[in-house]
Amino acid sequence: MNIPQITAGFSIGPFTITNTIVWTWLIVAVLSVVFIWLGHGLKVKPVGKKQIVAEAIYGAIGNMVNETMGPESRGFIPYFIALFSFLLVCNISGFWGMGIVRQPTADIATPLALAILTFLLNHGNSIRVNGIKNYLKGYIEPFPVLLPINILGELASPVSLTFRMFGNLLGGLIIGVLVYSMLIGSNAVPIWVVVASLVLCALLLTNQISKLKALHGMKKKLVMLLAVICFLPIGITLFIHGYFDIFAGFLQTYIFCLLSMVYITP
Amino acid sequence: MNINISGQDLILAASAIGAGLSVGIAAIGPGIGEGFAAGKAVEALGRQPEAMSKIRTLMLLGQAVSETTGIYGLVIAILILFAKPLIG
Repeated sequence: MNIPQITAGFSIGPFTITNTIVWTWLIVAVLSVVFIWLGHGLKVKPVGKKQIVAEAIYGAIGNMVNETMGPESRGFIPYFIALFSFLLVCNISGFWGMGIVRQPTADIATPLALAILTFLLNHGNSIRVNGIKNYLKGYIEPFPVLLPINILGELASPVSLTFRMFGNLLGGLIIGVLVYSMLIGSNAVPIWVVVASLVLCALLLTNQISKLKALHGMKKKLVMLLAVICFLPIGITLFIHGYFDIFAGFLQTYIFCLLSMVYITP
Repeated sequence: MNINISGQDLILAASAIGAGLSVGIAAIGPGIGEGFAAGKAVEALGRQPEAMSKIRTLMLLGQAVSETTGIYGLVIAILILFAKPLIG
């Protein structure tokens, strides 16, 4: 078993750039281009499909922010759209290259950075809304004796956010690599090998359908058996990808954004 | 029969057992807690079907918080298995 590692590619000054950071840059660039394209040339009276998609995205996240943080926190909607889409694309990126590409969120640096951002926003927003005096007063409530516990509680929230995301994604990655190595005997089998076997399977199936009447007995059974054998790894890996990359990835994105909203609301 | 078990082998064997135990024991609490939260959410949904989106949000929030302890166990197991802090 050989999990895709975080490798240091090159360094800029004192910072080491790893492969997950390069992958992050790529995702950020693609998302920036997509969102600039989506937000360009909006009209009051919608004319195209583009604006409907943009409004649907804004509406979905805006609804979530409205329900969780209240209508006065509308200024946070763009931040959460960026956070949600970035995390979603990061989590689902394991789907395209299992065994070769490590999702940026399976590197502890990415969730930690986002959790620290949430932590700063939380305290900044709290000071902005309540004033510095009431904010500091919140630490000695209900009793001044509880001051260390309150500080620890505040520090625990970014840690739990980080480890929830990191642990879920890394656990899914490890299980995926285990299943791949179990099925094919080598971990470095990317999704296109599975796609190739899917194509083979489809060819077999169509061949079988068109020549159904020509095939009899043993020959037909052999073709069916081949199709099933081809389909078995695809079914298992589809299930693993569907659960750990799509479902768990979406759920963790949702939960990260939801908990960030709850923390940021003063 | 001549079996040589060095100190490092002993640490590796104990690490494997410890990693399994840490995930297994840490999974008990979140499993019970999340099931309880889901059950109560279904009860609430039966009582008030129109509040579905709010109940779902609250249920996921509660489950995410109770899942955290299980994830800590998983992170410890991953650390023991792959980061190997006990072997110098």
